[in-house]
Amino acid sequence: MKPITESLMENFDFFQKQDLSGYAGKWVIIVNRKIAGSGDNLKLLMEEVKNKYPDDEPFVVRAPTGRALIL
Amino acid sequence: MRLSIKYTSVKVGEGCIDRPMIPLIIRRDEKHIPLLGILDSGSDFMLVPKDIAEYLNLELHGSEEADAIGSKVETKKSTVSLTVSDGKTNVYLQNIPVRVLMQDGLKEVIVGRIPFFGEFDITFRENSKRIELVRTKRG
Repeated sequence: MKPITESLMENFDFFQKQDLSGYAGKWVIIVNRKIAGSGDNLKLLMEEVKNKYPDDEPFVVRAPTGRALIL
Repeated sequence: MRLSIKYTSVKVGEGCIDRPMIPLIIRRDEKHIPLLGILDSGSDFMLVPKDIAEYLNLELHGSEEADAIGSKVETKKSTVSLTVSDGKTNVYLQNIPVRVLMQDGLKEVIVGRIPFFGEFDITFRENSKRIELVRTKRG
């Protein structure tokens, strides 16, 4: 199993190159540079992905909505 | 100890906006979650969405109102550990106080000033689209 920070950066790099507009506003889980799941219920989604990929680290992102962010 | 992280380009409308997002691992007891946080010098505290707090089983304490744009929001206090990484350097921070937003909707982790901006000298290099974090404290 690779170190968690290594998979973090690999999946971050993958995320930066993806167009996730088809998932706008949803939680998206990336595992090993692949989209492993998406949805609105993060807890359920994480359970599903961890069952499917028990030895891999999931990376969680909120797919951009396409709107500007004003904080 | 210095970290350098490229801005993340996000499609907004017809164009793209580059955002200062940093890879983080948030930990509480045996659970952890790798994700992205947005650095926001205008926010007083680190804000965690309720969904993430529920996944990590964070203990929540003391309700506190906060001013957000155009409204008041309810938050609760909790504590986490963080790992920040740029792929070359990892920084581990313990006992980081966070606020959990109790209403639905927010799915961004907002990395505000207290205490994160006290752990690093942070430079937003807007023209080269990079964030630089230089560690100011040693844990």
